[in-house]
Amino acid sequence: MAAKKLETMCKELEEDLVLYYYGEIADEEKRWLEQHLGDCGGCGRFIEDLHRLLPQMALPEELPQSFWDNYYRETVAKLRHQREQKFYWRNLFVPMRTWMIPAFGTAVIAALAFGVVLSKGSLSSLYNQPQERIPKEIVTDTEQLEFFRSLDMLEALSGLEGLETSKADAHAA
Amino acid sequence: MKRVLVSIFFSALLLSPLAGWAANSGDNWRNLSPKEKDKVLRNYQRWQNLPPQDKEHLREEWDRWQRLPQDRRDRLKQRYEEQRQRRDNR
Repeated sequence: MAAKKLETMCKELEEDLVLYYYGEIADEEKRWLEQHLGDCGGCGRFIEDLHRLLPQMALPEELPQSFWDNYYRETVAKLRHQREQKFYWRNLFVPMRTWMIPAFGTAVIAALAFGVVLSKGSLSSLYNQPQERIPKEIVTDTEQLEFFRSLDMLEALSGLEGLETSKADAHAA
Repeated sequence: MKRVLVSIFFSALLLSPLAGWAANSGDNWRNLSPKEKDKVLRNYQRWQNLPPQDKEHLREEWDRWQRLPQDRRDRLKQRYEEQRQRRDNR
């Protein structure tokens, strides 16, 4: 269908005529326009054209079900995305949930073990050292502790062994 | 929830030897008399000031000491204590 041009009307009244068509004009202006339409053929035909053409342009389109399905899916996805953005910090903890609680339990137990170590004896025995804090490597490592306990003897070990050997030799002789 | 409890239980189970070890390590020190603690501290401080070759020598002596049979260790220990007492009495 060939498009037919809209009828020429009084240019300064175009906006008012469209509003008149939609019924969105004050009563006083409406009365004035109706009077004008009676006198002006161009504006009258313009209104007739609007009556003819605008309903065709605004024909309601029947949308297929697939459109509404997509629309629903997209809306739900947008809402979800919006919610995720709002509470993004919750997502930070999601991967941790599987190991965070056991890790927390482990930390609690480690803290308890440490507490037991400190409180089993007397705390004061650790802090009231005459000269300085006890080096941790001595306190925690049994072998180190024994090593430093025996240091004097280790220095004399060769001499002691020599003495033992000479005594054994004397007995044998 | 059940899975979480099981996880905590197994973590505790795995860590219990560690806790025991930690407690025992502390005990070793606490069981020493104040005199022995002083001795350990003194020796530690002395050790820190030793030249590297002396440290190496003492470490070797320590390894050799640990490889000695128990009765020989006891005899040497006794001999050392006797010498020390004699020295203290003088």
